Amino acid sequence: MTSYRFTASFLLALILALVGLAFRNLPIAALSVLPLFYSTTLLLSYLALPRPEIAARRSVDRLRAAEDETIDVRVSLASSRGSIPMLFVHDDLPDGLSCAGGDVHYQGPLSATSTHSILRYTLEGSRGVYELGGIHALLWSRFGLAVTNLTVDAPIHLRVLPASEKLGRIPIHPRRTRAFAGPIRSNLAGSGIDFYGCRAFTPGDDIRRINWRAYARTQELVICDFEQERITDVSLILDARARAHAVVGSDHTFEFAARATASLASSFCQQGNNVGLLIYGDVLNWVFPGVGRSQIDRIHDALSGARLASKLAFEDLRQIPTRLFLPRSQLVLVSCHLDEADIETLALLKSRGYAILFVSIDTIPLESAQLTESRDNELAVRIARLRRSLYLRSLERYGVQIIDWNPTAPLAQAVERARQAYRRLRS
Amino acid sequence: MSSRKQCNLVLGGGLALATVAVAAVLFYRYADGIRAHVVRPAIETYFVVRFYVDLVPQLFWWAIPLAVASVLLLRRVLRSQTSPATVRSRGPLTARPGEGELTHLSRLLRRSHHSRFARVRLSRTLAEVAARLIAAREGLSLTDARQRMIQGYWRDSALMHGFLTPRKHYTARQDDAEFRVALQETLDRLEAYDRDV
Repeated sequence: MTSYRFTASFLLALILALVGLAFRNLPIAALSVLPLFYSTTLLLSYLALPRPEIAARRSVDRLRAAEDETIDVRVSLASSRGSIPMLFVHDDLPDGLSCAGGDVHYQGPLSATSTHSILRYTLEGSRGVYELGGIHALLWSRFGLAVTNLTVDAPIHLRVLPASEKLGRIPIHPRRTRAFAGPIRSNLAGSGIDFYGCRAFTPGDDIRRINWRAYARTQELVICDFEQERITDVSLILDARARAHAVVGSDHTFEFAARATASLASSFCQQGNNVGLLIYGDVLNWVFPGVGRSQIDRIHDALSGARLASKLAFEDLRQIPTRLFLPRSQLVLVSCHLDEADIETLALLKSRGYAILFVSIDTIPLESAQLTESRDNELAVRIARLRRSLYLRSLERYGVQIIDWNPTAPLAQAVERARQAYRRLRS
Repeated sequence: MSSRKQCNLVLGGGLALATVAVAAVLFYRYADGIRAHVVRPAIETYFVVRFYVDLVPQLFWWAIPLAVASVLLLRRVLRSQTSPATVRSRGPLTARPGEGELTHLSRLLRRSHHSRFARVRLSRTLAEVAARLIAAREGLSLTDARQRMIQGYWRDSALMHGFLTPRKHYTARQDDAEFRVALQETLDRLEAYDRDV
């Protein structure tokens, strides 16, 4: 800005001087004195402007936060070349992050010995990975004529994780379990809670498991077996194909899918299972299976950076890289979309021995709320509902478990409904 | 602003000041010579060029843009005749990026008031639903169910059978009201059939 003002005033002075001299007109030549004085003063002000060395330090109370949490940010500046009489500081926030409290601007002096934070604010944002870059500062000369701007680097990376919901026990029944004790029924006899069957006593059996009533009736020793409960391998698949998601009002259905995946990952990991994540739609985005709290963090980190993609190679689910999944393990697909091709693919995976849980996000309530009331829209809702219920029942017939989630209600409710349906099926 | 830019500005400013000072002295000292050898010849050249430009008829100036436009038009026509015919996209009838299933159906229904292609698309959608219903009820594969539907699974209702034959909608002389009645009846019966399944 200073250079523009200098150039303009200087050129004006030059033109006036030249015109005055060319026509030997003293008043015109004299007019050039004012802009020449201004430009000279501007230049001198600029030369006299202090060249401070400012160091910035941006500190946050956490580098990872969920969507419903906030991050406290403090910015402190230090000038190593004396105090600055007037300083304007502005911290640029990337798209997706907003200031929930405090102020991202500061205007005032900066003393040489200042160590306290000059900016304090609270951030909130939507799911994503963000980089807070440089802090912009403007410095004025003593009379405010010259201004210079600086960008002080204080980079910091933040992750806003998808909001996770606490879920109850999710009913899954894979064909293959691991050797360690866990919550999943393994379809193997042994020690457990649920009754599995009876067999004849063999030497070495625990006498506490003898069925004395059967012995009283048959005079033969019978042992009661219980179903072993083990942990299992669970592979979560988040459908990130652009065509599988929609923008509904201010919401994007992919965000619901990401939140559901985060909740499911937390739930499965907390039960002790070996959980992996595949984000399907872009390049191979795979979180290798693992257990424990750190695995939850890894999966949530991957979900925070998940983006929709429209790659022709991943247009339908047929290209799911099944080699990543252990044979006969549990697959959990989270998607808003379901068509004929997807049903065929899921049926094929089921026939290969995978146990499949399909978390279907019902977008019809969201979309219908956006439509105006009309005969056409009423018919559209009826067709969409008919098709969706039919497709889900087709999947159920193939043996795919369904969690039908209406995103206007908590996911825990949908899980509870699925658990009750699973209980009814087993009884 | 970087230190390099600051340095350039300072040097440039100084140089410009010096130039102005020197130029001012020279102008003042040699004003007559500059006027005789620079200013006056420039003014004379301007008037001479203007005189010759005025002699050129107006028709010539108008002919230039017309000729350029004609050449461009001719090239475009020649290229369109030699290039292969473009296939008109059916984009609006397929789901747009970021569009949900319900929104897409709603748009199709709105368009079906006047567009045969939208009617065909709707008919295909419901025919797929009907085939899946038949497959579920009769325990058939989807291919067999489609075959059964073509052979006349819904023959008891001519309106419904006609509606679920998508290609008929390309040529059917059916006004909007008749199409709505057929759609309504088909949907009612499919829903009733679904409840029975």
